[in-house]
Amino acid sequence: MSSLLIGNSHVAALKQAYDAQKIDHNLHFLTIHGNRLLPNLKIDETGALQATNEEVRRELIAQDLDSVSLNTFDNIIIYGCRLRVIASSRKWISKIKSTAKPFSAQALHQSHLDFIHTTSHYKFLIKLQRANLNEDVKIASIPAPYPNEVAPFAQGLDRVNHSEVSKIMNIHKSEVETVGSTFLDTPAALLSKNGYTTHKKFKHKGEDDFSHLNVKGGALVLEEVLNFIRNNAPPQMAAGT
Amino acid sequence: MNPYENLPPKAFWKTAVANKSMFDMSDFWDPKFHIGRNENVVTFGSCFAQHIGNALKNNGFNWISNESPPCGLSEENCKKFNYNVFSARTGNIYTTSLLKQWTEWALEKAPVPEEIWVENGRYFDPFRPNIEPNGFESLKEVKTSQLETIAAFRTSIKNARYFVFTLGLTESWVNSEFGYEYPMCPGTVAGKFDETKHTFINQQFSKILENLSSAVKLMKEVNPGIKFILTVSPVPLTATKSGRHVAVATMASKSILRAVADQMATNRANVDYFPSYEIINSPIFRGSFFEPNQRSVNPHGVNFVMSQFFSCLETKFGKYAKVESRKKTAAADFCEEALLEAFSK
Repeated sequence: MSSLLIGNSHVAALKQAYDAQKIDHNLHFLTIHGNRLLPNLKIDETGALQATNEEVRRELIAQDLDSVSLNTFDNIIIYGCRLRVIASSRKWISKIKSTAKPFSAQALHQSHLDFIHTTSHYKFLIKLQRANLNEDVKIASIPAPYPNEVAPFAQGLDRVNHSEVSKIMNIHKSEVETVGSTFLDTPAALLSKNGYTTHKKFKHKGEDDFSHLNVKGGALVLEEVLNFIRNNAPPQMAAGT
Repeated sequence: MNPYENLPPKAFWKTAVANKSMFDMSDFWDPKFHIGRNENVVTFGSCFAQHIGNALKNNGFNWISNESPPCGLSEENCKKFNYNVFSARTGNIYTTSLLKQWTEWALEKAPVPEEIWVENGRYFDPFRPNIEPNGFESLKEVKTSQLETIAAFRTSIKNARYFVFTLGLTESWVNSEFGYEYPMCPGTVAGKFDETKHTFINQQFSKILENLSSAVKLMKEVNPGIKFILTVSPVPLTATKSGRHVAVATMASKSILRAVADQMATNRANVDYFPSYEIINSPIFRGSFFEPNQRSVNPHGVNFVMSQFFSCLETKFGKYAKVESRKKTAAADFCEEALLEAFSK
């Protein structure tokens, strides 16, 4: 089984957890921080990744992925890249706080859809769907982690319309599934009590970094990834034989 | 010596127009106010006002939207739902009487009418029939939205340093029973036309001036420092009920509005007039700023008008500082560091 994990800086915590496990799951990584990777990555007619700028081209070459067909992988996992948090984790808090304001149901629903559709993550899932990869290549999508509960901007969540936030969560899942990917939601163990932020014990060590997970948090997400890979493995491999 | 001898080149047709390429013409406006980049500017009125708002925002001015869209709504859908088109979600305010009506509602000088239109199970605001695609889902939703917009309009009046208003029409439709005005004839976009209740009024100069003066007076009462920049929409009428040819009705309508704007700007220190109407419509530009339908203003026209707006301000008051591009954020640093730590060998 060979898998490719594509993402941005959130992949770092998973990579550290992966290295700490010292078990080779044949998992390859393709990452550039920020939102610079997926918008500049296309898939050609053979299913190979192609860069549309120099930075991404360098990264593809560095990871031995230049012109490699995605059909050579059994699993492709897209992680972070603004899915759910859109531009920043601060925006996620603004988003769920805005559910308490008196917008029309129609405008709110459209905003939830746009919140997903405008992300590079979702747009890349569409590219994957259109690439007509082999049927046995499985694709998973994992949203970026929520901001940490201790973030100053993450306070005041008592004014959230919970049923409206549930709609956002459900729309994420259904939209991702509509484009042929499996939605792997944020592991429940990562969440704080309110359910919309990351528990403080998973805060990145950077004092003012309220976006990234620490290695313990990364290990929980990694476990989701590995479960997905195991579930797609042929029966004898999944059983560990 | 005669009074014309020392006038600047812009005062003479030969030097200002005949001897110039049309794209080199300048000095169309002698602005009264030095609009600071940090001063609040709000825009309302006929559809051309949205271009002014956009241009102000794109050029680093403090154009204010007091009614934010739901977080995440794309720019394209913001337009569809009429967010950030004007400084509140009023939709087009075509006439000075509509401006006065909105001002009275915002400042609680007149009650907001109860009238709501229902069609195929959807609810429409008669005063903003286009505001929500396919209407609202309930009576409560449309009333809540209406009150939100009125509150946002009130905030716009109270906090604005500059209130930009584009005069659009003289033709109007009123409810003859209660006296309030609709922005569009009932039955065109939504609602049902009832000839016993819905009356056409083609407003005259004196009434238009009176309504604009009243609106300005009401706004000044709550915001004494507010200043006004008037424009006249260069966009011709879509249709006229006046009985005249639509081109004749357009010219009559715009001429009256132009005269009202002139009267206001000439007689009041806190009112200025920006000649977007003249720039787009003047024969010196040979209709080149219109789309082939001769009605919609093309992007070149909008860009030319707005470049004149800013260049005239700079000619009179000096250059504005360049807008600095956004610096790399701390968050971007965190992202870079996180990856370096995980992937460095």
